[in-house]
Amino acid sequence: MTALLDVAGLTRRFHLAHGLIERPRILTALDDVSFTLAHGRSLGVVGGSGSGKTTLARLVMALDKPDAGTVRLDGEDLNALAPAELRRRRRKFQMVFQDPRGSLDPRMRVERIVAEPLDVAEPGLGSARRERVAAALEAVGLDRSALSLYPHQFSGGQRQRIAIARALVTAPALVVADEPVSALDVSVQAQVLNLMMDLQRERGLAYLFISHDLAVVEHIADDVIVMHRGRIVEQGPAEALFRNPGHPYTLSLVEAISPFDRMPVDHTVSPSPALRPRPSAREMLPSSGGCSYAGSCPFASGHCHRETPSLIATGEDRRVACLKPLA
Amino acid sequence: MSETASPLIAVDRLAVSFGDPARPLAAVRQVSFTLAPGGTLGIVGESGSGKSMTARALIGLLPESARVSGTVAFDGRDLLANRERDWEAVRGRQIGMVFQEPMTALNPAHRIGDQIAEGLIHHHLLDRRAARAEALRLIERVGIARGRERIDAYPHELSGGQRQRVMIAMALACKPSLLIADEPTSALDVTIQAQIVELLSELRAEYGLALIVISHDLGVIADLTERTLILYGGRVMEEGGTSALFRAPAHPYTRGLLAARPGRHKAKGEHLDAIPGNVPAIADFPPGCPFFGRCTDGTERCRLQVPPPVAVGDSLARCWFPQGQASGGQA
Ligand SMILES: Nc1ncnc2c1ncn2[C@@H]1O[C@H](COP(=O)(O)OP(=O)(O)OP(=O)(O)O)[C@@H](O)[C@H]1O
Ligand SMILES: Nc1ncnc2c1ncn2[C@@H]1O[C@H](COP(=O)(O)OP(=O)(O)O)[C@@H](O)[C@H]1O
Ligand code: SF4
Ligand code: SF4
Ligand SMILES: [Mg+2]
Ligand SMILES: [Mg+2]
Repeated sequence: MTALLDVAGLTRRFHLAHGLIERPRILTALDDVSFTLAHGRSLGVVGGSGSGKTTLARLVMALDKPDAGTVRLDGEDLNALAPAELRRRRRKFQMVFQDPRGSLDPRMRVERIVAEPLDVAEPGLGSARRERVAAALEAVGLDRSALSLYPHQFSGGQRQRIAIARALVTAPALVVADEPVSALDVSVQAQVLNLMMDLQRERGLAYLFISHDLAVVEHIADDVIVMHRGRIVEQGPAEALFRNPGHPYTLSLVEAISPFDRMPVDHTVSPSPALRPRPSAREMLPSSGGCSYAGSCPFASGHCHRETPSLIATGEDRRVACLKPLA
Repeated sequence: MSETASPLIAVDRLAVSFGDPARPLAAVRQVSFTLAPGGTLGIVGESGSGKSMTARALIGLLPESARVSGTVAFDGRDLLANRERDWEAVRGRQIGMVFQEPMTALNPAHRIGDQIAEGLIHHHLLDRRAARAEALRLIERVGIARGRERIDAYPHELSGGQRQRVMIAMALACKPSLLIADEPTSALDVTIQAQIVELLSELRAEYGLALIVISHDLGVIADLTERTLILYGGRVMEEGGTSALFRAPAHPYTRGLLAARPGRHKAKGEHLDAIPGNVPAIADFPPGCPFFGRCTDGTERCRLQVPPPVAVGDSLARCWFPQGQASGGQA
């Protein structure tokens, strides 16, 4: 069976015009990224700020064009489709953005906001349009009376529900969610995550789920890719990857989790501070050449500054880009 | 050096409200706490709980339309009796503050070195030249790599984490005895968050600072503070030693916040224990316990009567039915 989403060799470069004197710099925001995602599964994407997560999301959504590589949905190369074809295909893949305040147009009523993807993918629905929108709102726990209201009349959590309703209205097979709960309070995060999990079970959705919150990703995602400077440095099943990181960068992310969040809810045991690796209070500097993580890596040796590690299999379903993988 | 018995700051029945005085919209209600010199306090609560208004009241930076009452005794003086001129001597000098949005708190038109040095010059602590040298020392101390190259940068040239470091350097420049950090890590990614938390805890020890950390991130509070206030609807719901309070929360709201996080207590993909409903608008809180309506244990009495503080273990919980009724745990 072909994968729902098949990303191969995806690369995106930006030209940074930086002042008049400095020579133009090229920033490789995404560097040879490949993975697949099956129907009904969740793939988590984690990584620091600027590691390329949103760039990846935009390319998968065909909102941006790669400099190299392909994005295939159900076997079809999205960038090879004619614009009208692509518009029709959009029915199958939708996106939820990070900030519920920023992503909903404040001047539009909820009905128009939620109907937007329908109008693109299935124009001319007539009276069925309103029913489809109302059904999407009901699926996310909002009343159809919301149809005629504006975004500012809703709380942050409700606005994120509206954003999810908009993504669902075309009955997609894939939803790309870029930090969908990061702007929400923990209490409301839990509501939205529950909703996303329910919808996945009911509709067999696949998620490409981007988040910097490892606890959330571990809870939601079947598999995870870890990004660092535009490259995948580790990939594997969520549980194995977080419990037993293979890449030193993944390890640093796991160690950055507060002991509080590593503990079960009764918080009865807390690791002794002496046993806990202390994060550095200083900024880390990028290295030049070799492994992109060598400048910050506690395991780096001279070799690491010369040779660029490629992503290789270290076990079943696991791949790590490190010359001396930990697992 | 003062005894721990005499607090650095004592807040008594602090209240902040907006709107028509006949029908005030109360953002902060009857908030009281004390903090010893060098002590640490966390303030936790969902957005709109009154955390920032509480913090801003302590340094005289409330919106103009706000009305404030109660007392804030700092070093023996009531700060709420201050006129704007008196605040000048306190703000930045005795109490430093790191704000929630570093981009709005920094002046985009001024170089970061000048912004850090400004307080030192303004309070006549150092001359221009010495202030610049101190700014450089601070930039390096807060962990910005290659400080000498960054001292003349503008805020927009820095990353979010670097801006937050600059804010901390500014807040510390005049060696205040209290630092208030409002959501210091909320806009940052995990590894940078952990670095900032580590930095704050190092600086606290080094400067003998008292620290008030405001966050909706329970992990940050657990890492940085000895005592915690849980705020909701402008009221203190529960207060106590941080680790005891997180280990054995007595108040249904505290328990709700703790249980809502995913973690090892939940099987993968299992429903999380969300707190039902949303934080209401100020005008819509019930007359009694603010958490009534979202609380699974609420009764008519809760709706009508404000619960008094009850000692449960080492914590004080403002709830008619603290502990006992286990609501978290099973899905
Ligand atoms: N349009 C653009 N022009 C120039 N550079 C860009 C552009 N879009 C992204 N970048 C750069 O590409 C890199 C990756 O950015 P991206 O937004 O994908 O990061 P991210 O992983 O989503 O980060 P965050 O966690 O902060 O959202 C960054 O260095 C960013 O500054
Ligand atoms: N200028 C203002 N006028 C009216 N209400 C305000 C104003 N500023 C804040 N509030 C209200 O006060 C309450 C507490 O706000 P705040 O302290 O910022 O919450 P937190 O920091 O806990 O998120 C909120 O309900 C907010 O809407
Ligand atoms: S290749 Fe070397 S520097 Fe890079 S992550 Fe592995 S050990 Fe660290
Ligand atoms: S007083 Fe009543 S409504 Fe308020 S938290 Fe306690 S049990 Fe719940
Ligand atoms: Mg992003
Ligand atoms: Mg706030």
